[in-house]
Amino acid sequence: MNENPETASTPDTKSNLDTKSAPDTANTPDTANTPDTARTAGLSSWQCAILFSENERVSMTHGGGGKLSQRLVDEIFFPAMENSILHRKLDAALLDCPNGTIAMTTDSYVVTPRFFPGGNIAKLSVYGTINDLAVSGATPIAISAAWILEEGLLLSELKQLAEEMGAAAREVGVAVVTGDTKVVDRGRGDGCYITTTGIGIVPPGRNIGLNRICAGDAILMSGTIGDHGMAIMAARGGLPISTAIVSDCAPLHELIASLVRAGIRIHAMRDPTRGGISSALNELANAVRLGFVIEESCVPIAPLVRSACEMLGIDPWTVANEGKFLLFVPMAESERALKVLQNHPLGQSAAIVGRVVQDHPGIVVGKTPYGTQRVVVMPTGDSLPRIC
Amino acid sequence: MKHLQEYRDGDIADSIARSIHESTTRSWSIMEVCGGQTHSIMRYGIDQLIPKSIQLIHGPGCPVCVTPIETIDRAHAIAQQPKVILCTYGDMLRVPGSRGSLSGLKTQGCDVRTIYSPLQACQIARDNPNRSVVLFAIGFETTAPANAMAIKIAKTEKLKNFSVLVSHVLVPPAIEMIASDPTCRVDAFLAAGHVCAVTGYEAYHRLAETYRIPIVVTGFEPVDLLEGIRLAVLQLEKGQAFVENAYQRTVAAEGNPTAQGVLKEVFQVTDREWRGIGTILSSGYTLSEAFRDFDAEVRFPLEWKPVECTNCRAGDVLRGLLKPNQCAEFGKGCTPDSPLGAPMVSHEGACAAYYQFSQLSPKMNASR
Amino acid sequence: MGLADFGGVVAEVCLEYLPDIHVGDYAIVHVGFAISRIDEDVALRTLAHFRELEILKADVAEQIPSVDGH
Ligand code: SF4
Repeated sequence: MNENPETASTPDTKSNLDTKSAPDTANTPDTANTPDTARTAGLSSWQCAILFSENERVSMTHGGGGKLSQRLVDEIFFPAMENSILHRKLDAALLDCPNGTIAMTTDSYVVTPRFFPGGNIAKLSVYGTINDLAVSGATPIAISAAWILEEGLLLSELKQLAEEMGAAAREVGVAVVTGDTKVVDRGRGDGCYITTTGIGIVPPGRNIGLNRICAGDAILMSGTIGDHGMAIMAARGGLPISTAIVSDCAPLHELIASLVRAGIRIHAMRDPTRGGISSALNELANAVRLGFVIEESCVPIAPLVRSACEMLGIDPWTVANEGKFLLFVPMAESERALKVLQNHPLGQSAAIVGRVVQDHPGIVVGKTPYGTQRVVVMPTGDSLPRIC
Repeated sequence: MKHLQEYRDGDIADSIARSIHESTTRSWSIMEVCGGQTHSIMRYGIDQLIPKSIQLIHGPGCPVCVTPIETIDRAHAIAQQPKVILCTYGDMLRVPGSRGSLSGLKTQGCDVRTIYSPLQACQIARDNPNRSVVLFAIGFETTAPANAMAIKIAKTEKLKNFSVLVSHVLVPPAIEMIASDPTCRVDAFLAAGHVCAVTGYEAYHRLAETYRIPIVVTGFEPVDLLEGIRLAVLQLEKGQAFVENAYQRTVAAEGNPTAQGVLKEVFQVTDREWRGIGTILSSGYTLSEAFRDFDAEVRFPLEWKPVECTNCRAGDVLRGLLKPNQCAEFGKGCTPDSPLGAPMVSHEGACAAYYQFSQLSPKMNASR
Repeated sequence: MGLADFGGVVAEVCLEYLPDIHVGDYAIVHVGFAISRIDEDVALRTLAHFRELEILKADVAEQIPSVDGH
């Protein structure tokens, strides 16, 4: 069913049998693209999964990048598709081939609004996939794009999005080499969803991965946090606020390449998208069974984002980023890595934010400016305004 | 931001903390009444800055925690009605009722919307004339004026498809209930600054006198909280007990008369049940006669009998009688992932806060 | 209704409860409602008072054991 996405301007030729899956996809942006598997896996693994009950359903929180997202993966998808590559929990799977290593990643994009300050769904779908490859140490080669269109979407808008995708791909120097288009009934989608899959090559000798994170590593953040999520929240409407916050949506491969060129011994990287750095740090600390200590006052936050979060009662650490990454390097190299990052336009506000420790394995501790500490918890997945 | 950053200043916080250390000669238990204060204490580690001999007890001031299960069930029943849009504040989504939570209902197709301001609920009602829009009006005196205004607007605009499920609670009666308990372990109260911004603090003088207990009106930033604690400790050490205002830039003795006027018009005081604690006389609001038409309880009946989880000791925890880790379910049957009671739901809920720290270091937990 | 500037974020805020509020005043806003005007004079006085504490601290710093929890 593959076809070049450029042909997507005749969507009605592709009305198809898959429409039922669309509403499910709407709820879990990244994980529910195989709803049938989800159902059977759910039942068969039900005895061992103590935490979810038989009639529990997918909730928006399952897609929020917090604890529930993790449970969806750990309790439903992983057991059903158990294999050693999946198990490494990387942003991109690394596939050993005779002449090197191929990295492969896939991601779905369901963001509303489709156009937001600083980007749009099509651009994001290219950058996001490029970033997953880049933080895995791979050089991107090609991506595929699958579009799910809702009946009624303006073709002019689709054309614009397709052009945005093409431009973004050219900008990062990869080609969109294959694609697919499906149309779902009106009301069964949200205008347009995009799934992109990317492959890249990990050059021989490059050794980047979670297994390399060790006590004594420095943790760097490549820039300010929370820009994307707050830009989306403000653009979505419904909140009586207006701000000039712009999404940080950007491709990271160049910035990361500059670290490699400078000879920095990168241990691991992760782009903290949904769930923000709270989620990414917790996931990593948990995976490597080491403790992280973060100096709160060192974490870069743009004043506008800080204000918006303050006003809405949202923790900026749990808000999504789309053009930033966490970097783990040996402490001795941290200052040099910082300089390299800061020399690149995308890394100007980079900072050393913390370190990896032997203590409290799996737990992320925040050091406050008062010399006190708190446990940085895995967000529940619903960044919502609260009253108390 | 101005008037915010100054009150997060590390040096100022440090000097106030030192001053508390200097003044403290005995053990004291101080209860911060408001959930927002608990949140700041956990967020900034304020409890680690003060002498170990001062224990901070997290009070019942989390409106989500004390909303009775019957009301939560009622909200659930309402959300399940066809054509209903239930508007709620984000805090409420995961709170367990006897049949799951609102976020669970959402997955079953109920239209539950999280709002930032109650005026959004009015707008939703205007935009959806064929749907019935119900505002789940919870909160203390701080939130009550906002909800009251939404109700007034609905009446003025004759928004027939708008109603409210009111579960407002009032702080002073709760303080009195705790202070009057013969087993009370609380030596002083930090009264909730933003509640007092609306109500003023005249009502507290009688309480401070009757129960010989210091009450300090306190804000929410680290410096504010430390200053509140400092003033409370000074009173305690000197054997004094009066009402003091540590949040003068925001709180006037008489509060906000305009807001009080609207509250009087829209609501009337009633006995209210506090989850886990029981009924406290004159401790809540219900709609006044003139606004009865907007009462969702009248429009939508509840058809099942609420059942509370019997092992949950939330009431004792919220009164400061029990530490969360002394509850048998703590960390076993009850975790933030699957909370049995409301205090385990949000990060700053008394039980959830304890849970996070118990993970970090069992020793630290014991010392708290 | 009025507009409130939260450090660059502009929000529509109901001012009904602060009839005397003026452009340029600071206020506490809760769920979209301004409920209390911040008294700037008092705020300045409070801060000055805290600074005094700080000076005091500098004088006695040596005799005070380190703060718990470090
Ligand atoms: S630990 Fe859980 S069950 Fe025990 S009192 Fe707290 S909320 Fe209730």
